[in-house]
Amino acid sequence: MNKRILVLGLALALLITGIPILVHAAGTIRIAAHLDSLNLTPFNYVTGTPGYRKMTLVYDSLLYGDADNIPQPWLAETAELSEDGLLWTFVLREGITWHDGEPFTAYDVKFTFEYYLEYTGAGRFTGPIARAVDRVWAYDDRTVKIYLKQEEPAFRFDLTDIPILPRHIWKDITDPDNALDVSVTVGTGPYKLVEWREAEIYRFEANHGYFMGEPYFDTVIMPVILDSTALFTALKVGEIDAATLSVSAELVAEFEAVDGLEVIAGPGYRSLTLKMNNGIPPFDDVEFRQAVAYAIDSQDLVDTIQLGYAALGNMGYFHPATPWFNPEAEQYEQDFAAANALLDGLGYLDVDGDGMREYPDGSELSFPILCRAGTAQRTRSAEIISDWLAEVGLDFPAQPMEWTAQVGLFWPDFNVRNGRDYGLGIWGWSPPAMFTPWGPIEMVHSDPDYGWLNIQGFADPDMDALCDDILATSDQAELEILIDEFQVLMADGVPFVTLFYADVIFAYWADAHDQWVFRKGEGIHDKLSMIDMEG
Amino acid sequence: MSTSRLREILKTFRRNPLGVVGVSILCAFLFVTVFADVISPYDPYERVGKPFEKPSTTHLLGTNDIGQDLLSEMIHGARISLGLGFVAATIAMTIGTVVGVVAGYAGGIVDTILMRMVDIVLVIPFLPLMILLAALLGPSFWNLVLVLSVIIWARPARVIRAQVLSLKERGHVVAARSTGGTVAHILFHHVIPAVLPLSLAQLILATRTTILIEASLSFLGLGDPISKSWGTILYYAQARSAFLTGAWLWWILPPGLLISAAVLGFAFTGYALEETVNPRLRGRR
Repeated sequence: MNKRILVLGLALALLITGIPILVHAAGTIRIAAHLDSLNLTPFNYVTGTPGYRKMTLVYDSLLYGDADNIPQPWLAETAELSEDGLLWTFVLREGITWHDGEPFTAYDVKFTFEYYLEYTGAGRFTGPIARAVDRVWAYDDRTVKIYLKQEEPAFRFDLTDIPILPRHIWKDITDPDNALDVSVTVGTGPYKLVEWREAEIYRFEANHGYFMGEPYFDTVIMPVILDSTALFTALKVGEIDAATLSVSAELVAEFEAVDGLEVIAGPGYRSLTLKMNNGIPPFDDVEFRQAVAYAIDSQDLVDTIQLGYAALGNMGYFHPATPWFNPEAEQYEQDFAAANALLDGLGYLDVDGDGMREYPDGSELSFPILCRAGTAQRTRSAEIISDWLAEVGLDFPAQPMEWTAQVGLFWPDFNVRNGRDYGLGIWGWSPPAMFTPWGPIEMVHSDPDYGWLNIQGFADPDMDALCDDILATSDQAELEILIDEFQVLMADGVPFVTLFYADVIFAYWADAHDQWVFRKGEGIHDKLSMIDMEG
Repeated sequence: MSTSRLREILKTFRRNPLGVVGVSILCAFLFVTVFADVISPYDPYERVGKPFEKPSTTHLLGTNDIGQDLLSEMIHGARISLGLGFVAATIAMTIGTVVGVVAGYAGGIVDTILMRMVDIVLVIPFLPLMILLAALLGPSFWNLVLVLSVIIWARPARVIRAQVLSLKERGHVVAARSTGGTVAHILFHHVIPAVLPLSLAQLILATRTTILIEASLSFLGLGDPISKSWGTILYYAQARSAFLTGAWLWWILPPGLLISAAVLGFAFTGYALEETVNPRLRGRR
C-alpha cells in the first residue's frame, strides 16, 4: 500500500517537474548541465561553458592543455617543432580506435585540417588553420607533418584546441552545421555519446581502454537543468552529483554546511570589464578614460557583487594567477580627487550648475552604461559604477538591455570591422582569452586581423608595435619582458577598465567522485577529471 | 455626470462591504506612495549595509544583494509598481473607451473593423506576445507602459461598446438624435458621461492586471532592473538564490504579499464599482 503511494507520488513528481528521476547506480555519475549543447560535434557543440568541455569528452586533439593549461602530447605521442619554427612533426600513439571500432590514423588528422578549411562553420578551428598552416601531410599511418606559413608560437596552443574528426564519417558530410544526429558524434575520447535528447539529457558510456587512462565511470548522465534554482536545489539534496554551473557566491556557505557536499573554489579567468568607445569623444581622450578608472573601486565590487569570491581587476588585463601577471602596472586605486582633477584639467566642467559636468563646449554630456539585462552581476555592477561616476560629476546612468541588442551595438556581427555604436558598457571575456600570453593582443591591436576582439576601437601605434614584437618572439625570456611591458602600456592607455575576475566555484558530492582536477581559470568539468591518468 | 447621480453611486458603494475593504487598502497604499520618502528608513538607492544581511533592528527586512535596505525598497516599490500600473491602465482605458464608444456609436463597417482588431488582440497568446514585445523594445519604464497598454485595452473596449450599443437606443439619445443634435454633441453630452463610471470601474480592474503583469515581467528579468518595483525586488531575490538560502522569508514573501494586497484592493474596488454603476449586476451577489 505504502509502496503504491510512493510510486504514485514519484510518478506525479515526474509528471509535474518533467525532470527525470535519476537513480544513483554504481559506476555512474550524474552531472547536471546548465545548458543544452546540441550533439557535441565540433561543428555543433554550443560554444562556451559547458559545451566545449563536453565536446572534448568525445573528441581529442593532437595536444591537450594540462591543469595549468600547458600543452601536453595527447593523440600525438611526440610533437616536435623544427629549429626554424616552421615544421611540426607528430608521431601518433599506437592502437587508438574510433568509438565505432575503425582505426585512428594520420590520414584522419590530415583530413581534419583540410575539412575545417573547407567548411568554416566551426570558425574557432578554421581561423588558426587558415592563419598558420601552409600544408599538412600524412607521412605514414602514424606520422603527420604540418608546415607553417610563418613562425607561430601561438600555434602550439591552437593544437590543444582543434578536435580531430574521423575521416570515414565526415568525408560524406557536406553540410556539417546540420549534422545533428548522435550517430555522427564519433570520436576517440574517453566517453562515447550514446543518447542526447535536446534540452533534456545526455548519456555517455565509457570508452574502456582509453589511451590516456581508464575512464572513472561506466556511465555519465548529464541531465540539462536550465533553471539555476532548480539545478542547485537538485545538487543540494543529492539528486545530482555535480553541476557545470559555477555556484553563486551567496550559496557557498549554504553548500559548505551540507555534510558530504564539497565546495571547491579557484581563480576564474573570465573577466568583467567596463568598455568605453575609444573612437568617440569624450572617451577618445586617454585622460578621460583614466579619470573613469580612478572613479572605480574594484575591491568594493569584489566584496559587494562577488562577496569576496573574485580577484581584483588588473588594469594590465592578465589575471594575477596567470604566470604573466605584472604587479608593476598602474592600478588606479579609487581616488575621486584625482578623477576630478583630470576632468577639470580637460575642461569638462559643470557650467549649468546641475551637478553634472558638460563637454568643454558646454553641451550636455551623458551616456548610458549599457549592460546585459537578466544578469544580476552586470546590472548591479553598472548601478554601482554609475553612482561612483556621478560622484565625479559624470552623468552615466545604468541601462540594462537585451543581450543580442548589446552585442549588436558593441560588436556588430562579431566583426570589429563593422565598427561600434555605444558610449560605454559592461562586457565580459571568457577564460581562453587568458590561457596564452597572446590572448589579450586580440583586444587591443588596431589591425582587425590581429585585434579581432578590439571592440572598443583602441588604436595606439606604440601598442601595435609592441604586439607585433610579442607575436614574433619565440624566445621565452624575451617574451616575458615584452608581456610585462604590454601590461604597463595597457594600464597607461586604459582601453577599458578591468573590474574583476569572478572565482569559479563548484560543488560536488565526494562520495560520487573525489578525483576532480581543477583546470586553472576554468574549473573542474574537464576530461582530466574523468579519467584515471595515474592508474 | 450630475452630482445627484454621483451621490447615488457613493451611497450604493458604501453599502458594499468588499468595496469598502478595497478602498481602504487602496487608501493605505496611496498614503505609502505619497509619503514614501518620509516613511522609509533609508534611501533605497544607497548601499547602507552589507550585502545579504538578515533582518535586524537596523534593517527590519534585511538588505538585498548589494546592501540596500529591503524595507525601504519595498516602500518605494509601491510608488513604481502602482504608478506604472496606473499610468499604463489609464492609457489603455483611454484607448479602450475611445474605441468602444466609436465602434458602438458608429456601427456598421467601422464597428466591424474595430471589433475584429479587438478580437485579434484578445486571441493573440498574451504571455508570449508580452515577452516578445518586452524583449524587442528593451527594458525601460515607458516601454513597459507601452507593452502593458497595448495588451490591456481590448477587453474594456468590448465592455464599453456593449454599453454604448444599449445607450444609443435609449429614449433621450434617440430624441437628441431626431431633434438634429450633432454627433459630437450627443457623444459628449449623453454617451460619454454615461459610460464614464463604467470606464472608471474598468480602469481600476485594469490597474489590477497591469500591476500583476509588471510584477511577472520584472520577475522574469524583462522589466527595468534598475527601477525598484516589487517585481524587480523579486527578480533579484530569485537571481541571487533567495529560495535556497532561506532569505525568501524576508526577501520574497513581503513583496509577494504587497502585490497580492494591491491586486486585491483594486479588484474589490473595481467589482464593487462595477456593481454600483451597472444596476444589472447589483443583485447578483
